Amino acid sequence: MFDLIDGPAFLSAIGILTQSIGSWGWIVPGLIVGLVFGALPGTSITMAMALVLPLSMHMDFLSAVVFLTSVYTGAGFGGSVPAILMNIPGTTASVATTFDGYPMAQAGLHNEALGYALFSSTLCGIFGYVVLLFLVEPMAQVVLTIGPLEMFAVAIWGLLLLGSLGGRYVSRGLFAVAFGILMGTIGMNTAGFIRGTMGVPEMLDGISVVPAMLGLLAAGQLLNLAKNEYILNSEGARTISLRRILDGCVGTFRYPGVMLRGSLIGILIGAIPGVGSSIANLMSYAETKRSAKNGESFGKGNPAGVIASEAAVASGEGGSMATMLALGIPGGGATAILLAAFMMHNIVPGPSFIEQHKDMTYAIILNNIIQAIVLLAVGVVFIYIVSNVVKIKTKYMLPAILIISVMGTYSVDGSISGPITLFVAAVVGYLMARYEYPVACAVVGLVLGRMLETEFLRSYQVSGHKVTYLLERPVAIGIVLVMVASLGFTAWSKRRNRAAELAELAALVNGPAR
Amino acid sequence: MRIGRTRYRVEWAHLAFSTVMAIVIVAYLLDVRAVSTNIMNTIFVQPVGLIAISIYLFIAYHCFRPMTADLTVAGEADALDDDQGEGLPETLRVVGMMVTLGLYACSLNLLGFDIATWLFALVAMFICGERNALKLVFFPIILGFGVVYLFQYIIPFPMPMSII
Repeated sequence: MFDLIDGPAFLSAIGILTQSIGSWGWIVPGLIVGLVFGALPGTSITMAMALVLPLSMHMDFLSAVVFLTSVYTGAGFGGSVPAILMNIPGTTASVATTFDGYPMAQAGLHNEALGYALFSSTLCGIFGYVVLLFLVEPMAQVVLTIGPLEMFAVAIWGLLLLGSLGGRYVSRGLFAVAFGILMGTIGMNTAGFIRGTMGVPEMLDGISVVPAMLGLLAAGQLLNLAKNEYILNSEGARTISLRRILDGCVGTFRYPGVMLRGSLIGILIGAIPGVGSSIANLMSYAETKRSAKNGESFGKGNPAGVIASEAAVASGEGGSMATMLALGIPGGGATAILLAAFMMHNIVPGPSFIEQHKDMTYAIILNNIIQAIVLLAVGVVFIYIVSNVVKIKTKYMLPAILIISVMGTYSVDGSISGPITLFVAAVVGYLMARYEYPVACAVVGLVLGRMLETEFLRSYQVSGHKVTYLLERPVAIGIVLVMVASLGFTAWSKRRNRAAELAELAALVNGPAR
Repeated sequence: MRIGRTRYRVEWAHLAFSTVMAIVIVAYLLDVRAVSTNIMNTIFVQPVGLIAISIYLFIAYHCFRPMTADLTVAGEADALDDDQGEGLPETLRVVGMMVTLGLYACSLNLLGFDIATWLFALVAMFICGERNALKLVFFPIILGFGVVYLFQYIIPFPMPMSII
């Protein structure tokens, strides 16, 4: 059994924080940088943290960590802003936010939607870090028991959920997922086989994920917006109201169960390296929809959908932080940069770090809790300002965002392949959206495709080529059973709703029976 | 379209798009098999590809909607849903933006980032409906040169320029 919290180390952590008051000054700038980069289509959390990393080299360790984790925290919420206002998730972690956030914006409820997103992000972020405070070591031990088969199962589950929830047609969703996965396997796999590169050396590492993601998610949607004068057509929908933003914040308290469920899912799934951040929001959304009395209202502007997604995203940061601090394993690009920052200060996260610097570990976690609280104030001001984007005509906004996107893709490796990939992906993304193929499915499939194949091959090798290996992994069996149940329910639910819609329409057209 | 005694309404554009995606998948699968039929190469990609093709066949089948007396209402309803109300001007605007974006991406090294960005901003604003000469002059200059100038300090790679 583990002692849940080390009292003396905790008190020492408070001492560290109070003695390093100067480091607190980096919270607001970090949050603002994160919010801006997270909210701007064309940029990413990883880009933001990579940009500020050199700056952090000149700071002491705690200030550097405070600054970088503030950027991480800010960007985590920032991605929900374009997801709600423009149907463009800032990262794959905000995909599920678009399902209900964008319909709310189209109905003129963007103020409330942003308020729901901000408050659930703050509260559940705090919850995630409080859990981390007590359970950082036990969580790390759980993560160590997760093998390639479990990671594969979780990723497939998330992708199939996305395929079934992401759009009106399950078949198109699953097709988009499969297409994305296959595109993600292009290049050299872990067994050394080179596929689909068409003789282009730059393709050895596969399709560049950042440009493809930006093209599919952002540029494709922006091309679609080119036919509108504003991103929200109705003039009444373009009002900005601080009161309504705060109404949204306060309204979050009507969904305590949704927040708790989303937080727990986010912490558990967010801790899984490489997979967690993309999948947690989808699972939280799916589970909330499944257990809701009015499940058919999801996807049409139900606030619970926004809250479920953002709760998982925010609390997932605690989960991925647990893996990084306790095991030294980054969950993704952003935590990899955090890891780099640690190493630049000659600190190596992992079991020995926690053992020898438990007080510093607690100080980092406590500081993240403080960041989440400060995010509330900074976030309200930020979304009040940023919401004015709905008043900007598309003829000014579209060229600006597309230019920033092109610059952002060029910055990945300094070659023209980035912008060209962006263009091709934008055309594909536009056409996919045009014919109701959920673009997010293809994106998440592309992001996870290589990881899926790698973990599958590892499982195959570790199992000694035995299919019965699955029976030796009870966690994987559990995941598969839950996956089958949740997918079956989702498919049945969609079919039932579709039949009801058609029956209603037929009744309207035919008129009352004579 | 009539097949036998039944009339069908065919979603040609959707069918064409999904078929192109399926062709890409098939081409990729053939390339995978051409590289090697070793199980470590095909064990994951092949089943996923076959599942994708199966789903495509299901989708393609449903692109043919029979127009019988009972199902005419559903067909019309779906047709209304699928038709996003895009007129020709809107479609042309979107196509224009696509072509402009493609030319912009390809011309960055040829014209320099500054000139290419300025031109893109100018053309994109015009396509999106800006006709005020003053705005067409100043806004692209700010975007084309201002944003690119800023990004020069952020991006750690050389950006070929013509003027800046």
